[in-house]
Formats: sequence, structure tokens, C-alpha cells
Amino acid sequence: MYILICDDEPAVARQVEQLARQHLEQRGIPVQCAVCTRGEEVLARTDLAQYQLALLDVDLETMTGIALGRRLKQQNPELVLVYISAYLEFAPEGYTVRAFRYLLKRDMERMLPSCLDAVLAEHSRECRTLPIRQGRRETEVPLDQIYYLESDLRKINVYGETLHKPLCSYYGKLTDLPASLQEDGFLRVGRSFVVNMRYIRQISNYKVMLQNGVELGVSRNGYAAIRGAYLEWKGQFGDEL
Amino acid sequence: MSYELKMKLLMHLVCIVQWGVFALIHWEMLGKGKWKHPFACTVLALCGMLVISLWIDFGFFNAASIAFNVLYLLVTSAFFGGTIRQKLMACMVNGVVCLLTENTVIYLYTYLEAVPPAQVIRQPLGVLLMAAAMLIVGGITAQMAKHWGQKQALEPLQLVVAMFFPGVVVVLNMLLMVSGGRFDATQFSVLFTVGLTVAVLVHLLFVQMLNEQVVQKKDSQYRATLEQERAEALMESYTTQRRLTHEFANHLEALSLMLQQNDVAGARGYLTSISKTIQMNSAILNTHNPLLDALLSKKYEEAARKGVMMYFDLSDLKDIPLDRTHLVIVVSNLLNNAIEAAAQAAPPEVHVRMKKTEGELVISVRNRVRQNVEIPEGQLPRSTKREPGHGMGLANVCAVLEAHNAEYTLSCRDNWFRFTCAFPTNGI
Repeated sequence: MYILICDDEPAVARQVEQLARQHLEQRGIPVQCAVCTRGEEVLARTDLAQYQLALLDVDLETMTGIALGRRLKQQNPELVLVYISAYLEFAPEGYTVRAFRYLLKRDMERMLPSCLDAVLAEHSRECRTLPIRQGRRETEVPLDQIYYLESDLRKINVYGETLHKPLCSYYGKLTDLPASLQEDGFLRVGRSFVVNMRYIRQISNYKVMLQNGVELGVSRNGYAAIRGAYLEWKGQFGDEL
Repeated sequence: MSYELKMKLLMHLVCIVQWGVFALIHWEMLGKGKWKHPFACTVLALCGMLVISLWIDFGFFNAASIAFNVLYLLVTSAFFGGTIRQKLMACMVNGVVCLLTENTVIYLYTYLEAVPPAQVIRQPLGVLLMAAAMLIVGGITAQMAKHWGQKQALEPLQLVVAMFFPGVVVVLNMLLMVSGGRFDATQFSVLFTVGLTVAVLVHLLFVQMLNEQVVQKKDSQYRATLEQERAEALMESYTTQRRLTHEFANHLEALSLMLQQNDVAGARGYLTSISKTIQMNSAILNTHNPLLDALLSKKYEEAARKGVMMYFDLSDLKDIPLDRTHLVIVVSNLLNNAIEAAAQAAPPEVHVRMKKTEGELVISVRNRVRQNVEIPEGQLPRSTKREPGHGMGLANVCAVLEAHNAEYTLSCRDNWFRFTCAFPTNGI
């Protein structure tokens, strides 16, 4: 695993490296660490794309860890950010970056191993795509491109951002979709539709309104359960778009 | 259709009303359980009972019919929710309602119309009066049971003692019902029946008054705990601040000495180091909501003491649609439960997320559990603690959610318990 570590206190940075290396190597995972004490030093690296995890301090001397994290994410969207800070500052503007965890420095020894396990579990999940078989051809559609799936007789239409124009269509049933889709934020909202919850704008009056303006009918029987499932998803991932 | 059959069907009108009332009271007292369609199951059981009763002809108000009804009560209570103790309690209430109402009507009718008790069921007016009385009393009892269910605060032992007298009355009424048909009604038997009914009503009134007292006592105990929780959180924060203020004097002295010696670089370095130390020593987080910061910091420390890892993902929560009391109720109860459950799980983790968007404040608490908890129909799970007074916290969280018209959901799967609620911000 390739890990980036940035803390303006060299001793802390070394401690983080030691803890991460020790824990991951115990699990048989080879570790390559890059340890930096300044944000600029990190950004100057030419090999940023290969890193999978960044353990960053929030209070760096010349730039904030949040700004650094945002820049790193722009270059490598798959990078997992974990902030290790003396103090968790959620106000006034808060941590406006999609971080995996925020840890307190004083509890680093206790909490970093468990956090690394969670990062590993996250990595071990399959790449987020929907496998599609069209005749003899097999393709994969990235889940974040899918707004919703529609069952149309014996076919399934996969819709993206563009209205009324499916990304692709294939023969199949909604019931045959992989069960992991639910974990990835997809929700069945009626007999004919499965929706990607990250693109829901609102659920009201027995309708699901998507961010691209599409409105889908919701079954009355399952309406409360659908609202509940969406609320739970919002609670866990709500603002991470 | 022969006259005999017509009369038989008319007499069974009392049974049908009575069985319907049983279902209504079961529903109000027990709610929905594992069975998806409890009323449909009850209707099926009712039809089965009717067919058996018409086929075998047990007769009315005798030992066989009473045993048949007790069996029906026990079977139908299984279609609804609640624990075994609650089911038995619901059966007992149904028994009290049914026996007292029917005996009172029978003996009053007997006294006024001068007919033997056994003949009341054979007279259309008697049947209609009994059915109407059952319907009215059953409806009122169902409403009272609903109200009682929301306010019930007696401990199991207190409830058993409270139900002892109605239990005795049920047995007496059974004896009266079984033996009554053989004798003509006397002034004594009428007075005895009506007297028992009045005595039960007065007894229930006393139980209600006792319950009100217990509710008040628990409520004030709970408020005191809340206040204590709030005060402790703020006190911890205050003590830390005082310690920091004391340390400030030492830091200022050191800085002053460095500046006197023109050691500006040293002073600057010292300032950087102490600013981090100060942050580390104060509350662990800042959301611009001092009470919430104090509460979450306190819960974080409590979790750490129990070996539970607590992760936060929050936003600026200066303006939220909850007043201080409601905030303490929701946060303290949810986190107490989460920490307690996570402490027994592996890995012991609690994730707290509070995000305020344009239209709502979404609170999500996720924690690991040792084993999945069954949650009926998205309700708050029942307390597993047995000590007196426990369970008020969850009920109070529910009350706050309802007061704010908040939506909430619970789930438990893959050893994760998740509670999520959304409070409308109403433009805050």
C-alpha cells in the first residue's frame, strides 16, 4: 500500500509512519510511505497518482491540511484521506473535503489501526461498476455514472445524466441485479425503477425527483420504507457529492 | 331458515362483537408483532370459532364456552406484538371487560324484565343490549388501553399486584356466569354483580392515580439526570478552561522573559508550541455550539474509558432547530445507547454524523453491535435493561422527534445499528 504522510511535526509524522507500517506489515501488506512536513513538499511530488491513502495533519504551517487534501483529491480522486489532528474544527466552515475519517492525535495509537483496517476493507470491495452482458460482449458501467435503471419488458435501460437517452440497454431483470448495488447506494423505488441515491434531489408526494429533473413514481406500499432507506443513506453519506 | 337457526345466529351476534372487541383491545395494547396481517388472521380465527360454535353448539355462558373464549383470546394474542407478559395482561383485560359487561347487562336485564338469567341470551332485545354494551365498553377500553400504553410506568411487580383484584373478580364473574343460569336473579345477585363492576372501576381509578404519581416521579428523576448530564459536561469544559487560564499566566511569564531578552524567534516558537497544547487540552472539537461541543467531548471521553472508538463527522452547528433540553435528550440518549452497545462488540466503534443542510438537520449515529437487534416496523427497540425506570430515555427521544415533526429511521444489519433522524430547520 502506498501511503502519504504529512505533519509539520517530524516526530509525529514518524510516529504515524511507524504505526501504519507496523500494523499493515503485520497483516502481510507491503507498505511504501512518503513522509513530508510541508504541504508544498507533498504537492511537488510527481508520483501522487500511485498513492492510495493520505494521513494528513489539519494544521500545517503554510497551508491547511484540508486545502492539501482537496488538491490531492483533484489529482487522485481514489485517494482515501484520513486527518489526524490535535483538535477537530468543524466550525465555522468545517472540513469541506470528503475525508474517510478524522482522528485525534492523542488517540492515534488506539484508533489508527482500526482506521487502517476500515481503509483496507474499503479497498477490498470490488471496483464500483455494474457488469453488463450484451450478447457475447461484457462491459462495465461505473456506478457513479448511473442515475437510475428502468425495467422495460425484458430489457433494462441504464440511464445517466442525459434525459430520456439510456447509457445502454440489455436483456435482464431488476431482481437479477447484484445485491452489492444496495450497499453502493442503489434503491429500488417501485416495480420498474432502481435509483442511485446520490442523485436524488427529493422524495415527496410518492415521487422521486432526481437532480437531472427526472421524476419517478414510488409505490404507495413501500413509500415509508423508501423514505427511511433514503434518510439512512443521507445520514451516512448525505453531503459527500 | 328455521326460527331456531335465526335465533342461534342472533345469539352469536354477541360472540362476534365480543371477539371483535378482543381484537381491538389486543391491537391497542400489543400493537403489531411478527405477523404481517394480524387482523386478517384474527378474522380467520373468528370465522373458525363461529363455524365450530355453530357446529358443536357449546351453548352460552357455561364452562365450555368460557374455556373456548379463553383459548380464542390466547390464540389471537399471538397474532399481535408484545411480550408474553403483555399478552397475558391483554387477555386479562379482555376477560375483565367481557365478563363484567355481560354479567352486568344480564343481571340488570333479569332484574328489570323478570326473566331468568339463562333466558336473556334468547331474547332479541337482551342480545342487542349485550352486543351494544360490549361494543361501547370495548371501544372505551381500547381507547383507555391506548392512552395507558403511552403512559404506563408501573414496574412488572406493581402491575401484577394491581391486576390481582381484577383477576379475582374475573374468577368470581366466571362462577357467577356458570352458576347463574340455574337460579333466578335475586336483588343480592344483581347488587353483587353491579358492586363488583363498580369496585373494579374504582380499583382501576386508584391504579391510574398511582401510575400518574410514578410517571411524575420518573419524569422529575429523568429531568434531574438530564440537568446533571448538562451540568457535568459544562463543568468539565469549565474546569479545563480554568486550568488553561492558570497555565496562561505561566506561558505569559515565559514569553515576557524571552521578549525581555530580545529572543523574538524563541518567543515565536514558544507561541506556536503552546497554541497547539492549548487546543489539545480544551474540548476536543468545535462546532460553534458550546453545549454540543461539551456534550460530545464528554461522550468521547466516556467512550474512550470503555474502550470504544468514537468518530465524528460534523458541520457548523451554531444554529440548530433544537433547544438545549431537546439537544441533551437526543444526543445523550442516542450516544449512551450506542456506546453501551458498541462496548460489547468488536471492533467497538461509534460513528456520529450531524450535518445541517438548507432544509434539515440530519443526525446519524451508527454503532457496532455484538449481534443484530430485531426492530419491529422501524420502532425504537425495547430496552434490554431490567432496572426500574429504564426505557424513559428512548421514549423521550421519540417525544422530541414527534414534537419537531422529525422523520427517523432505524435499522440493524451486518452487526451495525443505525439511527438516523432529520429535523426540519424551518429556515434557521
